[in-house]
Amino acid sequence: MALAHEHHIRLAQKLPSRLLTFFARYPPPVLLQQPATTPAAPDAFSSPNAAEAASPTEPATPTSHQPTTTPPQTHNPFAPWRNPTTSRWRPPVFSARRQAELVKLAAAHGLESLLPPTAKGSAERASRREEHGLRVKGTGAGQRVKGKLWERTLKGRLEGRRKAMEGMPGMIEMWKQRGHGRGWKKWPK
Amino acid sequence: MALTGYYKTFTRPRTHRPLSMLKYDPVVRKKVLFLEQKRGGSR
Repeated sequence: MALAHEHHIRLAQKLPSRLLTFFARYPPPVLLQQPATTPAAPDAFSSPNAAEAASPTEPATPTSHQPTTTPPQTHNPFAPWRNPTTSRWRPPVFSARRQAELVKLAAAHGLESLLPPTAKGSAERASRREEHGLRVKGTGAGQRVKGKLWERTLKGRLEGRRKAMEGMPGMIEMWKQRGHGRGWKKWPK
Repeated sequence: MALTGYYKTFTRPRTHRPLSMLKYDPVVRKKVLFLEQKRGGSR
């Protein structure tokens, strides 16, 4: 048990300092719950304002007149936070660029599941790609690319050309027999 | 008449019979029969 513990510690020390700092500041709830059931950790990183409504430690409407200036510890640092007192939004602690960098770094070390939910996560990215496709209209699930007019009509035009060319030798023969057009009756309209 | 969209323009006397001639069509790379048609477009 102790050996495994030390092994894990050694593994963690090999992580980049950026990831270590992040996990020190925002410990994954999964790891927090394992050693001792902490009473002040109701659930994982919550969505915006879900913690305020649900957590018993911090009621949504504080009876005292001290305004809340910081989000609760359980708040997702990758999500914006709405101050229940002032109704003002505070942006995420990490910008979208830094979120993406952290996700890439964590994924390289196989730790992406320990990060809070973020739009930059690979699962979210995959689901968005599945839904919207390649940002080209029509490449998503259940959609089809409309295409230009010439692309939509190309098949029919080529088919018509092929049929016309099939009948062309016979047509030329008939045209020659009828005096090179003197007795020609089938003029195109 | 090969339905390639390629065409040639000529002038003829109004009382002349409609023009028809064998001409090279670069789209199908063959000599095909061209028959006189009304001028196309939005006119």
